[in-house]
Amino acid sequence: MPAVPANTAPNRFGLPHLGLGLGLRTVHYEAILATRPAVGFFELLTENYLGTEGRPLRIVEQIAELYPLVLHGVSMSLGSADRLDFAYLRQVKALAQRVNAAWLGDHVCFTGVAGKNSHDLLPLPYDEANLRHLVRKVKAAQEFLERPLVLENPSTYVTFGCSTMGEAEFLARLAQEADCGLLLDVNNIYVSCRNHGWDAQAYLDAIPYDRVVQVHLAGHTDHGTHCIDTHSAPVCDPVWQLYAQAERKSGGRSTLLEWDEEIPSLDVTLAELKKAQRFQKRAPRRAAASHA
Amino acid sequence: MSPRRAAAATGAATATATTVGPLQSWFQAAVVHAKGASAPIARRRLARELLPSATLTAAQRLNIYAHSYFLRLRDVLRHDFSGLLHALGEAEFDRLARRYVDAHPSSSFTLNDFAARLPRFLEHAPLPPRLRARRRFLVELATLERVLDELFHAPHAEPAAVEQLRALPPQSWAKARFTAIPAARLFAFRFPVNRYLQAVYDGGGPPLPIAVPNWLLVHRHNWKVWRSPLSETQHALLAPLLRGTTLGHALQQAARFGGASVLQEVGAWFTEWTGDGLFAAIGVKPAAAARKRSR
Repeated sequence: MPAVPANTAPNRFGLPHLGLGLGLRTVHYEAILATRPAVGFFELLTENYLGTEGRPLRIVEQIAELYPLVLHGVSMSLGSADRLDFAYLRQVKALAQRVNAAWLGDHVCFTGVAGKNSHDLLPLPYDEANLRHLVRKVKAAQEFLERPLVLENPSTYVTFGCSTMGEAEFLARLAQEADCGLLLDVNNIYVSCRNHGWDAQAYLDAIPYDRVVQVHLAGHTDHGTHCIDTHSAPVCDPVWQLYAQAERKSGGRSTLLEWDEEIPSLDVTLAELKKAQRFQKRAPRRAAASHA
Repeated sequence: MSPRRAAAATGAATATATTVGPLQSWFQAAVVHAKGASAPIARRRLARELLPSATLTAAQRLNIYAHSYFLRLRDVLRHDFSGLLHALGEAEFDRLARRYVDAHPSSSFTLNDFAARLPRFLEHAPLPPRLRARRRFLVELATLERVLDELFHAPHAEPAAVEQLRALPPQSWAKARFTAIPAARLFAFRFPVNRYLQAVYDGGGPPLPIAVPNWLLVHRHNWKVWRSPLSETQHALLAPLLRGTTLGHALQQAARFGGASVLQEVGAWFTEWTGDGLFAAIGVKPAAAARKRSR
């Protein structure tokens, strides 16, 4: 699998285009080390490698010798009313240095308040107060970590009555005002648009692509009345279509496939990831045309 | 940026925190409540705070979070305590999990320690009559399963080599001290929990066992956690040794159980334990004293 498509437009942070990557999962450790698949990069779930000196950390050190790694966290809780947890951030920073992470990120959400952690990506109202709060915390976290954060749009299932702007506008303003990067999860866009009745096209149009560093792909579970972001299935066709548009608009971004439930063999996940090549190959030509 | 400076920077965020905090507190309280959107605390503000979608009510939407909150944490417990899950059955295990989640919500960025208090919690948790008489077995089983996870993540120490053991002059054996690696625990169980757990792992569907005293060494070697049954004599030898006493003293303890024959077997035991990476240090000086002197 070619790592990086040619002729891609850079993100404003100068972070590298790493090609197509996979979310690193324990069930694939041995197959990865044994077969060394042609993957552009692996993404670590940050918290799985903090507070442990067990086998996963040893494996990751071996994989870091072979592939670029990026860190993707779920507990930074940047939107929380709680203060930043600097003990946690210190560990994140150390891990990033230890595995030479190309970048690190988390989600636009809160995971808990008053010292609790729900271990879920809880939604934020999209209003000025939450934007101001988030911008300040993201800035402080970035300053401590000494690098820009790459923040992901979450899948959401509720709408707050106090929200005053759309999610894409909220993300765009956050990225601009906090000077952070974005991780565009096109499956989450699909899931949230289905759940809220949003226009996915308008969502994609509102994203500042120069701040998009990475794109996520995943499967979800469609319950008819709503969708849940389960990462338990192949990427569905409408999500591939959104991905094609995101690639065209961005000029091509590092793209990662997540699979977290009912995880198939490494071969199956690689085959699913390979489908993204079709869209990555088309994207540069169209991007070049749009820049002409 | 230092934490102190960064903390000062986020101090400026406290004004916005007081604005966004109350809604987050309400939302979290509703999500973690066993009754979710039906809980009085959720109902109080539900209509004011959340909107329905074209297909779901606001309560149904909130419950997506409430359900996944419990299921996520329950699945962590099911994964870490597969033996206890078998012993209790799914329904009773889930009742225990709900009580535990409510009593000990996570306050850490990691789930590694979420289950740490489950064995102690089980000592007093409500159980149906058929299981109450088995509580001691269940607690011991949970203790073992928790330790397996704890040692998986425990700090690493390079193990001492067998050559270090062989280099110890015979005249020094009585004064020798053996420091265990951090990822090692010793147990004296009343119930055969290791045998039971292995049968569960093997898919055998074992019945709840009767009490049979047994001794177990659990330690991590080559990044895997091993469960090694011990004789009562071996346990009597290792227990004081791993508390920091000399081998001479530990042998006196062990001789009460194994008699003089202990001396004939002890060399082979130590060769095996050392080869299995149980000891981080072997020497005639206490490890703490050695560290102090080197400073």
